[in-house]
Amino acid sequence: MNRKHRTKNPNNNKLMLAFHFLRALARINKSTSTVSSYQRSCIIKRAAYASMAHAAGPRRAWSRALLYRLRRGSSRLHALPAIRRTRSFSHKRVKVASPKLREPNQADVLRRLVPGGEAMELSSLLKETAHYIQCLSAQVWLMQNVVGSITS
Amino acid sequence: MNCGPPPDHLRPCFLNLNWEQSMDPTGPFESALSSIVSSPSSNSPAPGEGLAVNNLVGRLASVYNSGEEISPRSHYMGAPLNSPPKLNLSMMGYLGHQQPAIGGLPFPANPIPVAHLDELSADPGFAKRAARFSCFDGRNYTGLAGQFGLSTASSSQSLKATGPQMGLPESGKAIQPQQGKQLEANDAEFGNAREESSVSDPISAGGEVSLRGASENNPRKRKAAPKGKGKDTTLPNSAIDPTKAAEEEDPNAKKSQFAEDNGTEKESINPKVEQSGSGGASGDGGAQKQGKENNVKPPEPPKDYIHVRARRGQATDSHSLAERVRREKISQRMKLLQDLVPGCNKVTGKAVMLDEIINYVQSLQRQVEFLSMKLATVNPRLDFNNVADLLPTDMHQTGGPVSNSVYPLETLGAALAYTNQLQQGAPLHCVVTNALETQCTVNPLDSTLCRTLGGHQPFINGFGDASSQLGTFWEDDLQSVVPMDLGQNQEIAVSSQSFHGPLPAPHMKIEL
Repeated sequence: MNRKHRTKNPNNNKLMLAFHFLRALARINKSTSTVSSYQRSCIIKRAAYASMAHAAGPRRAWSRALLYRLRRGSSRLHALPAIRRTRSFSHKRVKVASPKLREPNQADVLRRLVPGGEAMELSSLLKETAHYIQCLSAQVWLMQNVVGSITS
Repeated sequence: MNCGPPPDHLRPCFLNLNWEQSMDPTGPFESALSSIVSSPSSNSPAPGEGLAVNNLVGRLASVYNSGEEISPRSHYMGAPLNSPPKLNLSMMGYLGHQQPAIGGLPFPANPIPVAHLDELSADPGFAKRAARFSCFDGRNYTGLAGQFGLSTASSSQSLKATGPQMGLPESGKAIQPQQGKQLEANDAEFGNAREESSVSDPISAGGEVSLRGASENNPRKRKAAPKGKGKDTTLPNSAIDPTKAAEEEDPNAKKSQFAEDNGTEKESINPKVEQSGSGGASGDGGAQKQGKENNVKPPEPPKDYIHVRARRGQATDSHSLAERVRREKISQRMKLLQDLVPGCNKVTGKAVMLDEIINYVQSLQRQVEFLSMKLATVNPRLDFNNVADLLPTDMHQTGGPVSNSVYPLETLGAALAYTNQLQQGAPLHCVVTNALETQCTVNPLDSTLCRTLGGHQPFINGFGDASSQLGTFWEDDLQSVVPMDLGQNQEIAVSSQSFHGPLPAPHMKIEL
C-alpha cells in the first residue's frame, strides 16, 4: 500500500486537495451569504490551508502545526508564536528567539513562514519547507483553476 | 588458521625453560635439551664445535621427530627443523660462538649470517638474537623470532611473553609451504594473542622486517604491527629500538648486558637492527595512523547509525564527524529545495538559496491569499452542479465524466458528514438539508449514498495513515459509486469501515 501510495502520490495529493477544498468552498458558498467579502476571503483562505493540511496528512510536522493553529482559532494564520511539535494541547508555547536578542537570520525567517518550524532544527526545517512548498504550489494551482473555470 | 595450540598452553612450557638457569627437565624435550646443553659446554672451541653441532642436530632432530605431541615445545627448536641441512649449517654458525644453553637451537641455513655470527660476541642471548636477525628467510624467521625471543628472555616474564610467540611460529612452521603472508598472519595473530608485553612483538616484527627485505617487509609490517599492537595499548613502546625493547623486556642485568652487546655489534648486524628499529617506527606510524582511524570507528557506531569514515586530512573526533554528517544532510536538502524553487539553478551558496526559498514561500502564501479573495468575490456564482466542472480534467485518473458526475454527490455527502461533527450545528445543518433538496435531481439514490458517505465520516475528518489509503480508496469509491447500486454502496461502506482502524481519534475537526 505504501508503494502504491508513493507512485500515485502527486495525483492523489491533488485529488485529496481538490476534494477537501471544493467541499469547503461549497459549504462556504451556501452558508456565508451575508458576510463581507473580506471576511469571506479570510474564511476561504483558512479553508484552503485546512484542505492543504488535510491533504498532506499527519505525517508532516507543518500540517499538524497548521491544523493545530487553525483549530485554536487564531485569527492570523501566519502568527508568530511557536507551537510545540509535540501534540500538547496545553497553552505552553516555546519562543525560541525571545530570550536573546539576535538579528533574524534567514533560518529564523523561514521558521516563521513555515508552520511549526519554530521548534525545528535546520535539516528538518528544510525538509518540511520542501514539502510545504510542494503543497502550497498545488494549492495555488488548484485555486487558480477554480477561479479560472468560474470566471471563464 | 593453523594457529597451533593457544598461547596459554605454551606458557608453562616456556616458564620452565630458563636459559640463564639450569633447565628443568620437565619432559622429554627438556631433557633432551638439557643433554644438548650440557654437551657443548664440554666442547672445546672450533674443532669440537662441529661434533657438538652434529650431536645437537641429531638430538634435536630426534626430539622433533619423536612426536608431534611435543610440538609446542619442539617449535622451541625453531622452524628450521623441517630442513635438517639448514639446521646443520645454522648449528654450525651458531655453535661457532660457543653458545652453551641455547646452542642447541638450530638456525635456518644461511651462509652469510654464519659469517656474521662468527663475529658476534660470546653472549648467548646476543648471538641468538643476531642469528635470528641475520638468518631470517621467508619461512623460518618466525621460528627464529621465537627462538630469539626465548633466548633473550632471561626471566620468566620474558619467557612468558615469548611463549605465545613461539607457539605461533610453530603453527607457521606447520604451514611452512605457504610463505610470507601466512606467517605474517600468524605473527598478527600472535601479536593479538600476546597480551602481556608488547616489547617482544616489535622485536619479532622488526626482525621480520629487517630480514625479509624492505619492500616486502614494510607492507607486512604495517599490517602485522597494527594487528599486533591493536590490542596493545603500549603503542609507543613498539617504536623503541629492539635494543631498548630488550632493556624494557628484561629488567635484569642480563638484558642490559644484551643491550650493551647489541651496541657493540658489528656493522653487518647494525643496519639490520636499525632497519628493524626503523621498520618498527614506520610500522608504528602506520599503526598509529590506522589506529586513529580505527579509533574513529568505534565511537562512531554507538553515536551515529550512519557509518562515517573520517576523510584524510580532516578532524576525526566524534563531534566534528557528527557535524559533518549534519552539514551534508543540510546540503542535500538544499539541493532538493533548489529543484523545487523555480529559477534557483544558477544560485549557489546557502545564504542566497535561503533567501530565494524565503521569497518563494512568501510569494506562494500571498498568492493563496489573493486567490481566496478572488474566490470570495466570485463565489456567489458557484453551485453544486458546476463544482465538478471547476476541477481540471487532467486531475482525474479514473474516467473523467464519471468522476465529474460523482463529485457533487461526494461533496454533498461529505458536507453531510461534516454536519454531524461540526459544533456550529444549526446553520450548516440547514445548509446541508438545503443542499440535499437541491440535489434531488442529481441522483435518486442520494440518500443511500449519503448513508454510505456518512460512514465515511471518520475517514473524511480523520487524518492518519488513511490519508494515503484514502487516495486509493477514493478512486475506488468514485468508480463504485457510479452504478448506484445498493450492494455496491454497501461495499463502499464496508471498505470505508475497513479503513477505520488506522484512523486517528475523531476529535480532530476542522473549524471553518
